[in-house]
Amino acid sequence: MMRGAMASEWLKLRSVNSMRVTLPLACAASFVLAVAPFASDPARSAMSAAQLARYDAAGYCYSGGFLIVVLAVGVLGTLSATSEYGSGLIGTTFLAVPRRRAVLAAKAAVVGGAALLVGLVLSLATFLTAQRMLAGKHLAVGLGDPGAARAVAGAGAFLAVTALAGLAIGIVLRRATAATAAFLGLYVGANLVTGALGGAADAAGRWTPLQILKGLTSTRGASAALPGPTAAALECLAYLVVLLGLAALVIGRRDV
Amino acid sequence: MAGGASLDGMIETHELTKRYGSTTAVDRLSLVVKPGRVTGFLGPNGSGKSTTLRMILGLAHPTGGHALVGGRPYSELRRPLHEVGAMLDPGAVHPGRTARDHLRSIALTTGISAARVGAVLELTGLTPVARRRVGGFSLGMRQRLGIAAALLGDPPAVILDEPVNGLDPEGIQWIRNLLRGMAAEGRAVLVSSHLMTEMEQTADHLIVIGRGRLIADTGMAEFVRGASRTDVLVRVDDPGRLASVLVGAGGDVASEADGALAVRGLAPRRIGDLAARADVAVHELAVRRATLEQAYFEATENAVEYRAGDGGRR
Repeated sequence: MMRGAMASEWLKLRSVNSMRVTLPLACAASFVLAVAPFASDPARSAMSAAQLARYDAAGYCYSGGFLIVVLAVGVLGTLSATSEYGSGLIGTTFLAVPRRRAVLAAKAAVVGGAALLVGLVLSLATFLTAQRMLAGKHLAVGLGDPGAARAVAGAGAFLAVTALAGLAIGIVLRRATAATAAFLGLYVGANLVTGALGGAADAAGRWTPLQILKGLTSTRGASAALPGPTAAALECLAYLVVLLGLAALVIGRRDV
Repeated sequence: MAGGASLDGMIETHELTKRYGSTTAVDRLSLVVKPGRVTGFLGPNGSGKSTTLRMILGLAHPTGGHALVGGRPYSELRRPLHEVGAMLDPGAVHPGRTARDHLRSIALTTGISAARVGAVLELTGLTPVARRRVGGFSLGMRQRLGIAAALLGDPPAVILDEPVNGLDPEGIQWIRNLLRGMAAEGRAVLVSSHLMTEMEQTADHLIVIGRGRLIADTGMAEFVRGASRTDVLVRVDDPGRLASVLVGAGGDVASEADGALAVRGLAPRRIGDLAARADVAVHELAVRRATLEQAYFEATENAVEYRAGDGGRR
């Protein structure tokens, strides 16, 4: 039953335009805007020692344009749930697979798996392209350099976490507008709040998704507001447990 | 067809109850839908029909009682699409997906072949539009797509909520033949509709509910016969004389506006004999059978939740 449910979810995911058009567009925009700033970075010889110590050739790949694909994947994640609730299609889905948690598991496997694959390909492509652009400036790092491979893998995995968070929020809230707003509130709004509060909100700031992404991809160490890679990974896990747990709780209880 | 042979296709509810706060939508409803016939499911708006169907199909949780399909709760069916096919809402589709992909996404859950998807598309006349997006479909085409989905697993029981909504006369006739054909093959067919004339031609058996309670669970002919409206219309040259004769013979006679007599309690043949003996010339003698619609209105008179004209009062 699980295999059938996953095959069904996979077909549903790839048979609508949001996946065939929106996702590739978001990936392309994300890639271009992520690598473009490297062209204007100064060469190694023009940097001070302090600048050079801060310069994060791996982490910078995932700080700017990459956020476009993060937000797109998260919204697509919410849509994969809310589009079914909005049309009532979720009823048809539950008729075919009455074990509702199996539906959630199948959706999570497919949405999370697809996002992981897309995320890893995109993060690797971004990294390799950026390093190629930095080579002439003698700033490039390789996958073998400390933290670089972890940054690439972390950025890819973060997309999967984001898609799953979106899916769970979509299942809990059911309505597209509410779910999109909640997702953007968590991913963008939370950062605006902790940013405005400054140092007072450092502890909370470590828990905002965008700081988690930075923690996963930075190769220049943690700070008060920035979790280290292990802490960031654990925070991702905590988010998934809470959000997917909530989704699993409500999906079985509610009338459709 | 999988499962225990004797219970195949049988749909039953026992004391099924659904409360929303202080409102009781379905009230200790017990019914059995048997294979081999078309069972019409009737009731006014808000009488609990859809809620009942949703509980049978595991989409809503009962407050009390239970519903079984083929002897098991829906949520415990291992291959539900092969036990019962259902169409509740023809709008429950993703507008951006093609008809074929919609059906394939359902078929994949339980390993139904692409050939079967093609077969139900053919059966419902959707083959020419199979690769078109559902968003552009008319209500009638969506109804056909919903029915196609219900038939995917070739199930021994079929539940259709308002399947003729939005269909043209050809489509309605097609549904009628389809439902009758499925019943003839030994399947249980449960179908709700507001179109009484249509139901009269399609259903063998009726389940009527009002305010969530069972009002009637009976054969179609029996239900209609039970209505008080069946009478005999008589037009004669001397209605006054015949009226007194008929009343004397035990008939219940009422005068129509145009002078004709509406007679109850006497057979047409007896009325003709009495008229002949009284030397009254008969111009017309016609049995007026109650329609399903009349019988339905009589049965549900006290159970209409919202009625026009009384301000929607309960």
